[in-house]
Amino acid sequence: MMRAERADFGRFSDPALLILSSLASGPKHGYAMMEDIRQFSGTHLEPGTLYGALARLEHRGWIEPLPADERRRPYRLTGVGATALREQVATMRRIVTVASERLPDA
Amino acid sequence: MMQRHYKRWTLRLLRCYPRAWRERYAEEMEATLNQHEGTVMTLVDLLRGALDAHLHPSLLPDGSIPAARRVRNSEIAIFCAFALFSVAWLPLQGIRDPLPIWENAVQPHPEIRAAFDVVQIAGFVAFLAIAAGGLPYLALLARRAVCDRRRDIPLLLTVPFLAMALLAAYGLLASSTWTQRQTAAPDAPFTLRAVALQFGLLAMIALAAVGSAAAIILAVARSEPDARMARYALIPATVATLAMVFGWLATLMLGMLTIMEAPPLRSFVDVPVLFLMGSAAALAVIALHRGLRQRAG
Repeated sequence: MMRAERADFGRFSDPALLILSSLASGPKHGYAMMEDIRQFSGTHLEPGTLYGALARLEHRGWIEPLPADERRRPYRLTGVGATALREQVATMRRIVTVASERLPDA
Repeated sequence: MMQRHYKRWTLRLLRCYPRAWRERYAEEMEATLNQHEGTVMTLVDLLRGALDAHLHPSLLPDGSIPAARRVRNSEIAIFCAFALFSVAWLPLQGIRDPLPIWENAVQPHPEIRAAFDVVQIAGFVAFLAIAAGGLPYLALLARRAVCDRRRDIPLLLTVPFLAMALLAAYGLLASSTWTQRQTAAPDAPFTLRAVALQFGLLAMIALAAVGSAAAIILAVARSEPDARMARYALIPATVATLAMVFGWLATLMLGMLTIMEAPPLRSFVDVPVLFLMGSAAALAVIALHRGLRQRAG
């Protein structure tokens, strides 16, 4: 179910995962998310992609906007969003475990 | 210096996003862009984002785009599809020129004439439907703009008339030159001036068509949608869409018949014509589907 929902994200699938991971440590506004994502993953998200993914996540109810601080609006992870992230992380962990087991030792 | 240029361009590109999107996200995007170090990739990414936002209007929170505006946006898309359809349909009319070749080809194969008749009828029906839906809409816009003392909408609505006047003036000037040439030396080779005038006319027609369509779209998009008019316009929009689909199918049939039975006519129904018509019909069907869903919702 969750995988089918994530398939709807298209090219925004990876940015969405990065955003959810960033918001897992607390609410952030657009630029703070971009900086955080760059630091923990090395991915340089551009604003057009960021807001495309934010709109999709908000539409799904996985994140929600908070009152704007001056012109910057922070977002936070919702309960449904946290569940989606947990499931995604579990899937990725399984993939990493299998891949590590199958790779011959260096 | 370079950063200042990027900032200016990124802010300009934000205007390419749909209005409802800008109302919801532009302020915070602007704040993010002010802190972000812009590159060419930022500009490309914003363009892609704007296109994506136009293609996925349902992503915005419920109620941020009124249903009437969504229906109207679908109708604008159908108008764009019709403009695209016309670009392919008009040159197809040259298939009967020269007439003797056409007559020789269709006399033993009346099915070619029948397919072409369907293409023509479909084009005319689509045109009449677009006019039936569009003219009352434009009249309402003009009346409202006068009441609201807006200048931009009447100015935009005058663009098609100006374009037609310019075309007529150019046609008159050019035709007098051609007539003089044909009278003085009917067998003389074409001069550079005559060729330039012919290409100039083609360029003027294309420019007038694109400019007029863009001005009409801009005028409609800038005005507040009218729910009753948007609902009414869906009826002729449905007729226009069906006509475009039938027109495309008939052109496909015409193309196959010319390949099999009339090779001299084959070049008129080529892949670009079929592709353009097919794309226009597909765009219209998608837009109509969205419009009808919004109306039902």
